Amino acid sequence: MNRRALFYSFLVISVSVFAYFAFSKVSDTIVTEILINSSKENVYAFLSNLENIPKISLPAKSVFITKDVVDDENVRHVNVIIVENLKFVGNLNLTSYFIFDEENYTIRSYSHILNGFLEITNLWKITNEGNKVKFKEIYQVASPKILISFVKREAKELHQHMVRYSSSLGDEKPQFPGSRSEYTYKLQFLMPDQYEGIPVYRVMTRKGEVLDSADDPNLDKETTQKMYKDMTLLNTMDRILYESQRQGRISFYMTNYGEEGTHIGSAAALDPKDLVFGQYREAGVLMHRGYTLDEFMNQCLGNVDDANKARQMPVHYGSDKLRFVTISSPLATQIPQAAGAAYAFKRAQNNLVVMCYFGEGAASEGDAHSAFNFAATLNCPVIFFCRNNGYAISTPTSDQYRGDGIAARGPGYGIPTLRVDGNDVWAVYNAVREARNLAISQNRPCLIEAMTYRIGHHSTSDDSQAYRSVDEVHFWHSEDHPIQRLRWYMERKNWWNDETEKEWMQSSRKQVLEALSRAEKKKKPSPSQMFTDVYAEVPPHLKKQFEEVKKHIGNYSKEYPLDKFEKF
Amino acid sequence: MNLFESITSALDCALKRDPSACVFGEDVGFGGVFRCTVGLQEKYGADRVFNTPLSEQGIAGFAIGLAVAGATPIAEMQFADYIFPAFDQIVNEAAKFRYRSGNLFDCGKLTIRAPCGAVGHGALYHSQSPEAYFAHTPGLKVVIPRGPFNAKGLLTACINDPNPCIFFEPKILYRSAIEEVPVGDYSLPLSQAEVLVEGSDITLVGWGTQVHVLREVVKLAQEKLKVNCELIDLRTILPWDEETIAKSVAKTGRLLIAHEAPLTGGFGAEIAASIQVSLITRAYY
Ligand SMILES: Cc1ncc(C[n+]2csc(CCOP(=O)(O)OP(=O)(O)O)c2C)c(N)n1
Ligand SMILES: [Mg+2]
Repeated sequence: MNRRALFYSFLVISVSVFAYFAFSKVSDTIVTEILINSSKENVYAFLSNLENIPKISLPAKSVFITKDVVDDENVRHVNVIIVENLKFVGNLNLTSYFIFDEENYTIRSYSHILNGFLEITNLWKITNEGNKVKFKEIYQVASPKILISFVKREAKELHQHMVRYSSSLGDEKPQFPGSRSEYTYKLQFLMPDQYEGIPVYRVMTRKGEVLDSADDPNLDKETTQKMYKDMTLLNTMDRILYESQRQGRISFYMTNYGEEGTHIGSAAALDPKDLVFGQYREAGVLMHRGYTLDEFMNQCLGNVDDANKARQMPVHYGSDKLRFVTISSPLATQIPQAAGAAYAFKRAQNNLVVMCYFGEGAASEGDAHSAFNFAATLNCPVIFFCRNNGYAISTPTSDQYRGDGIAARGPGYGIPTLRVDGNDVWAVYNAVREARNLAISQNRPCLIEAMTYRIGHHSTSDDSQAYRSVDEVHFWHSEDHPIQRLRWYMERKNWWNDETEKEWMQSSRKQVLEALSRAEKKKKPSPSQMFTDVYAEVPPHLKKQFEEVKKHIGNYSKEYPLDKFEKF
Repeated sequence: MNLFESITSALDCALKRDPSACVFGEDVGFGGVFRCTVGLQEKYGADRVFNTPLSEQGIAGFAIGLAVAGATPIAEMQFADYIFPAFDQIVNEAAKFRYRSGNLFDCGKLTIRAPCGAVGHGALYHSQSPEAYFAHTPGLKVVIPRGPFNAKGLLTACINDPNPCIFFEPKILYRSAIEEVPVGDYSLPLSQAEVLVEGSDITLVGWGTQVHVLREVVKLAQEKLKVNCELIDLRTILPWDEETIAKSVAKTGRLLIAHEAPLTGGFGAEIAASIQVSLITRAYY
């Protein structure tokens, strides 16, 4: 049978299928059956015999295409047809398609997301019972709410559609460079709302219970305690530095409240030598890598030991030793840079990735778009880690984007994508570990969108009560806090209790306060530092300008608080 | 070699010299719209000489990242007129990388090349000379060659320089003149102007294409007006060689600056102002 004839036979079979899906929920998986009325047509025999059909009859690239119809009573019906060629995934108003894997005898289902396809982890096992073919869903379904009923309805329309389509499948395929789809004769816009949102991967419930022990990364007690201590130390440091800004001791601060899980979960999954490009609200990543409280304080105070030589506002940390590129205020600029650095890593074959953090607000910048596109086309092993905390200063996500968040953009760029519960430290850990493997083994970028909530104000210059309710903030603080979730997890294992908590809170608070007072005692760097590091060497014109400044300050020394600075 | 060939030769030498060097930009893979990268992909492979997606801000950001990770990026902006989408990456990122990190990180290995200037049919958007925008940014080096020999030597210097450099290539010169250019590696010093014609009555300063215009002026002035001009090619716009010009003006007592870019706020104004100050304060003599 040639391909075309084979296709037609499938077509004939497919349009006369009469069957339905039935759903029942068994524990956490959905079992789906396709019941086929075998007495009607030989097609049913064919289908019911699926397991016995020689491979050639159901080639690896067979596709089960479903056509969705929502009827007047809001019940969703899906017609399933089988076509030969996987390539047909165009504008047929499809919400899902299924690929048959002949080796494992499984069907994997895909969902339509925007203008790309995104795999949702539905894996179906085909079994045969009597003359019924059973499709058992093995993985947890992405959106259990959808009941799919499988009816003959609209078979005629579908038939017409397929006849048209078949003519294109045979000899006319789009030949446009860069196109990989098929022709359609149906004028149909791809409607974004038609598709389910990308699910949020999690391991733990809000109460810190691990749903499936297979997903528990099972880190040992010591490692887990370190992660917990980092999260809480960060929290304590935030409180103290926030207060110290209120008291006028530092000029500015940004807290990390509520996002501790994204920081520590991701940092723990990285290799310490992976290069990190951050935005500014990722202090926990540095803390996990071993940035000391003194280093944090020195930077925020801008004292003589600040690595940046007091040239940047507080929270613009950086460490070459800890492979954390110094933060820069212009948003999103680090994202294409991370792609470039990853390209260099790939060429150096060092088996490292570049980790790039950014907010959902920064993701609106052109830099973010360029970065995704460059990383995908140039095969860069970079992890794009978006912290979606609901706000960009006062701007809620509803004013920031209209699509399904940042994750939905990934498939459009050809980037493997995952959305994760950012308040679930283990989910973040698993996500980043997996992304890292993928990035290195396949030399390609990954996009992770970590859903979380910015519990604090944007910065010390912001009062978020002007644009969001106290109740909203309270919900996240009390019902879904990453620190609390990890604590519950640890308590279940008897790794932590009220006693240890109390001790740790006291000692960590003391450490922070001591570091702060040490940093406050130090002088500011010499004003001569204003002219160094502009270039590798100070060029003559800057030397001249420096001499002028020096002369000026000499003449007007009373006007300047020179005692607070190191000497010229 | 003509100028575009001397650029290719400089890139060739850089790729040979430094295995971490990469040459990339829009349409660079097949040789570039001005043919400056012809044959390099065949010679060094598609992972070192490659097309990027069409985004100048992406090219600049990507290039900075390569440099931060220790590689040597040589990025091409297809036209200087289209460098502005990359302005933020160049001005806020490349220029300040070293400074803002207290020298923990830098992108000094970065070089950005861009064809600039008028050719006669490029109209509004294929003719600009945007050097003054970048000259206002501490941390950058800005270089413009006048011909093939200088182009190769100065581009090589930019690539080797530990600071981010922007190299503007006057595109009308790509095919206009042929000079003797060594095939091997060499570089010419940055931030050094070159006295091309010595004279006593007036100092003429230009760069890029204007040097050729001024050469004719020197001849005309001598023949028709019996005026004896000194001609200087500035070559590096930032940091520029104030000393050479100040010394010349101290001698001639007069200064004329010619540039292709708009007059208001142009780099000529910076030179005029600085030279007046340095003559008053007798900084250089
Ligand atoms: C290019 C640029 N535009 C504007 C700003 C001012 N700004 C600083 S933070 C911020 C909001 C960023 O929000 P998001 O990316 O979601 O990060 P989050 O603060 O939520 O962590 C804005 C607008 C900036 N720093 N850079
Ligand atoms: Mg945000």
